[in-house]
Amino acid sequence: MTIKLGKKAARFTGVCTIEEAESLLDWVQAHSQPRADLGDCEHLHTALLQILMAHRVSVTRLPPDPWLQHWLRPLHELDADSTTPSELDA
Amino acid sequence: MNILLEQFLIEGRECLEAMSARLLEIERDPANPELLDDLFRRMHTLKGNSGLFPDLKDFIAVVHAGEDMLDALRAGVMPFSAGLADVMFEALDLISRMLDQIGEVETLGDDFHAESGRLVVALRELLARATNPAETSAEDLAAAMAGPSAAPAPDWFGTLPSSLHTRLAELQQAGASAICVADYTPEPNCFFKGEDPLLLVRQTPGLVALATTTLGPWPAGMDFDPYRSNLRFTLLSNADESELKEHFRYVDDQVQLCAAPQDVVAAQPGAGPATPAPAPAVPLPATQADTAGTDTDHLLRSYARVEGLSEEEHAFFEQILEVQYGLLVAGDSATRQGRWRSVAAVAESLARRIGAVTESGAITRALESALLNGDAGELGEVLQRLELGLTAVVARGSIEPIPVPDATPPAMQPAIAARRATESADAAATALALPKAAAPVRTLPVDEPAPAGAVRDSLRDALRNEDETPTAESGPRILRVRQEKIDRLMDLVGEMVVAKNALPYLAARADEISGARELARDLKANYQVINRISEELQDSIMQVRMLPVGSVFQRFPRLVRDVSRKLGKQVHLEITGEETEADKNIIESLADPLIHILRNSLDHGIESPERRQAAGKPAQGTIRIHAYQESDRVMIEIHDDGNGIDPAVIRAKAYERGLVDETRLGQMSDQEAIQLVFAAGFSTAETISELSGRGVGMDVVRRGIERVHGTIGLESVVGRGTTLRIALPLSMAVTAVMRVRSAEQAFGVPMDLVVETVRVSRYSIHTIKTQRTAVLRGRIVPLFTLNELLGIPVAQQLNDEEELAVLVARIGGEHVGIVVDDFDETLEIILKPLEGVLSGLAGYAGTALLGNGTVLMVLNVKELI
Repeated sequence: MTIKLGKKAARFTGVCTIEEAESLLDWVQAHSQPRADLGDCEHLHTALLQILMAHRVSVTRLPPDPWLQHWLRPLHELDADSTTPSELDA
Repeated sequence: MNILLEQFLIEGRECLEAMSARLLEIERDPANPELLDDLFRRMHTLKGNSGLFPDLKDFIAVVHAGEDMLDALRAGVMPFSAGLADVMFEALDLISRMLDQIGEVETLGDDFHAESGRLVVALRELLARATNPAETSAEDLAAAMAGPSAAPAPDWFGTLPSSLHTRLAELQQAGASAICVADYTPEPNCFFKGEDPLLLVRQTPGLVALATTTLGPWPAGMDFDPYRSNLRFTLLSNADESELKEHFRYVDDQVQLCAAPQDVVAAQPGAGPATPAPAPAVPLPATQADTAGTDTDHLLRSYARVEGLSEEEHAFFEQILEVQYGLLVAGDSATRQGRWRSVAAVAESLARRIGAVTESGAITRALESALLNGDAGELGEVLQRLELGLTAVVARGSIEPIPVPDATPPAMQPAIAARRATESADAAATALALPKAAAPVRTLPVDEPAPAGAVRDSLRDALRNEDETPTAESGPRILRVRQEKIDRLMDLVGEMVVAKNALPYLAARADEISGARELARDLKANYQVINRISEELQDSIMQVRMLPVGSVFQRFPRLVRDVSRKLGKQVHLEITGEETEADKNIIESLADPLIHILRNSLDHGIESPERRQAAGKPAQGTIRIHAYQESDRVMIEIHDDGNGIDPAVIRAKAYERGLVDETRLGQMSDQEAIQLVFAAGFSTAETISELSGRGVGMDVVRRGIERVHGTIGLESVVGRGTTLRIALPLSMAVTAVMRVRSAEQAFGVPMDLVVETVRVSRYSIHTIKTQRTAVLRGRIVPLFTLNELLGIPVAQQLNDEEELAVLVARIGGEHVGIVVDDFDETLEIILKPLEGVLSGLAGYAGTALLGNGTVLMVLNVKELI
C-alpha cells in the first residue's frame, strides 16, 4: 500500500496507483475534514488526484515534483489558510 | 529498479502469459468473440503500460502493431488463420525476450531493432492486405500521421484558459519562438485503458506551462465515480509539434495540438489579464459580438445544472459576495495574500453551488495572477461574473431576487463602491469575458450525472476483470511480495528452530548439572509449546512459498502446439492436477526437465499421423500430464501414447556407447534397461534434430530432478507409450539428517539416503581384494570407513562388544556401508550450502547450525565414495 490511511490524514508515498482509488474514496467519504500528506509522493494516478480535488481534501504537504505541485497547490492552500469558511463546502 | 518499471515487467509478463493462452484457445475456437476481446484488451494494456517508458521504442512499435491487428481481427475486418497466429506467437516471443532484457538492464538496447522492425512490417502487411487490397502506401500513412501543422490557430485555441494566454504572451515576449499549445481532454473512461493522464502530461517534452480545469461538477457522495476522468489539460511546450504528437500518439483523438500563433503577443498586452481581447487570427465563438441579453442565455446554459436556489440562499450568497469585494481591497500587504486566497476559496465554493463550474479554473488563475502581480483585479472580475451568474440562476429559477440586506460594515462601503465603479467602467470587457467562460461547456458534451450505483458497479466489474485483481470487498486479496522477503522470513524461522532446539540441552543441563529436576521439567514443557508454535510458523511460511505446479505447465500448450506443427504431428495435450502445490524453488526447477521430457515425447514418442493410423491408433497422439500429491511428495506423471521405448534398441545403444558391459547387459530386465536412457551421454536419436537428441536430454532431466532431491522413473511398453514418473519433495527448506560421530566429531547424513543402521561384529568383516565387505541381509555390502574417506588418520572405534557401527546408505541403487564411531539421533535442520572458499568441497552437502550452537557438517555421501 502506497497510501497509508490514518485516522485524520492519508499519507502518500512513492508511486500511488489507481488500485488504491477505491479505498481512498471510501476513506475520504468517511471523513468530514480529510487531509492528505503528499510530501513523499513521487506520482499519483489521475483518479487519485480527482478524488482529492472533488472532495477538497486539504493537502498538508506538497510533493516535491513541481508539476504535481501545480495540481495540488489549490488543495494545499485550503490547508494553509484556516480562514476558509468551511461551512460553504457542503 | 524503478517501481514503475518493476510493475510494468510484472504486469507485462502476466499479460504475455494470458495472451499466449488466449491465442491457443482462439485457435480451437476462432468464433468466440470474448476470447478475441480479451486478447485485444491484454495487448492494449501492455501497450498502454509501455507508453510510460518512451525509451522502449522497439517494444512499443511491436505491441502497437499487434494491437492494431488484433483490433482489426476483433472488428471482423480480417479472419483468424493459423498463419496469423504464427506471426502473433512470434511477436509474443519477441516481446517476452524484450521484457527479459528490460528486466536485466532496465532498458532496451538495439539488439531487437531489426527483428521488431521485421515483425512490425509483417503485422502491418497482414493488416493492410486484409483491410485494403490496394494497399495503403507508406507515404499516405506518413501524410495522415503528420496532419495539418501550418494551419492557422484552430477554434479551440480561443477557449484556452486566460492564464495560458498570458503565459504564452510572456514567453513570446521573452523571445521564445516555437511554442506549441496542446489541449488534452482525456476520455471519461480512459482509466480503463490503463491510461494515466497526469503522468502523460507530466512527461510532456518541453512542458512550460499548464492549466487544468474540470469538465463538469464533481458528483457528490455515492454518485462520485473514481474511475471517470473529469479533467481537461491545456499546456504550452517548447518542444516540436512532431515531438508532442509522438508523445500523445496513443491519445491522439483526445488531444488537439497547434503551434502558438505569433500575433498573440501583439494582441495581448493592451487587454486586462482576465479579458484577453481575441487575437485577430483566433476566431472566437460567434457569440462574442452578441449583446448582453444573449450572454445571460449562455450563462443559463452553462449553469444548467443548478437546481433552484432558495430565496434565503440567494440572499446569503449576495451577502457573501459583498463581503468578498471588501476583503479584496482591505488589509495591508502582509495580510492581503491570505485574504485573497480566502476570497478565491469562497468564490470557488460559491461557483460550485450555483453550477458555474467553468469558473473553477478562472478562479485559480485569478488567484495565481493576483498573488503574482499583487493586483486582485482578476479576482474582482470573477466575483462580478459570479454575481451576474447568481442573478441569472435566480431569474431562471423564477425566484424573485429579494433586496439584499446591506450587512456590509459602513466603513467598507466606499471601498466597495470604488471597486465596483472601476469594474463596471469596463462593462464591455466583462460582457466579452462572459461567453468565453461559458464556451467550453457548450462545446463539450454535457455528461449526465452518473445514473447511480449501477453504472459505477459495472465499471468496477469491468476494471476487475481487466486486471483480474480481486479488490477489497470480494474474494481473496492478493499481496505481491518480493521473494527475498519470504526467504528472509524463512531464514528467521530456521534460526528460531535452531534456538528452540537449544532448550532440551538446557533442560538436560539443569537436570544433570544443577540438579534442578523441576526446572528441567518446566523447561521441557515450555519447549513443547514453542516447538508447536515454531512448527506451525514454519508450516505457514512454507505455505506462502507454495505455488501450484500449473504455473510451469502454462507454457506447455504453446510448446506442444509449436513443436507438433513443426514436426507435422497431431498431438493433444491433457493436463490435470495443475492446482497441486509445492515449494516455489522446486516448481521452478521443474520447468527445464519437463520441457526436455515433453520434447522427447513429441520427437521420439508420438509418431506421425500416418504411422499411427497404420498401427491402428488415432491419428492424434495424446500427451497426458498428471500432477498429484502423495503424502509429503508431489508426483508428476507424463504419459504419451506413442511408440514406447524398445529395450533392445536401448541395450544396443548403451553397449555401443560403452555405458555398460556385456555381463551387466545380460542381467538387466527390460524395465531396468530402459532406465539407461538416464545415463550420462545417452541419446538414441539417429540424427541430431533441432528439438532433442543432443545426447543431453534425459541425463539432464535426471540431474535436474535429483538436484531438488526428487526421483524419476520410467515405464514403457513398445507400441503403447511411455510413462515418466517424477516424485518431488513438497519443500526443501527442512532436511532430516542423521547425526553420526566419528573421530570425536559430529557429521550429518541426509536421511533419504540412509537405509538402516546396524552393528557389525569386527569378525564378520571380510576383505575381498582391498575392499572390506560384510554380508547384510543376504547381500554383500562394501564397507568404507568415514575416517578414511575424510582423510582422518584414526581407526574407527569399536563398542564394548567389539562391533562397528555401520550406516547403510543407498547410492545410485546400490547399498554401501559407512563405518562410523557411533550413531546419534535424527535431526531436522535447515541445510545451508557451503559458501566462499568452502564451496569447492564436494564431500559436503552443506552445513547446519545446531541448538547448542555447534556447526554440523552434512556429508555428501555420493561424492565421498
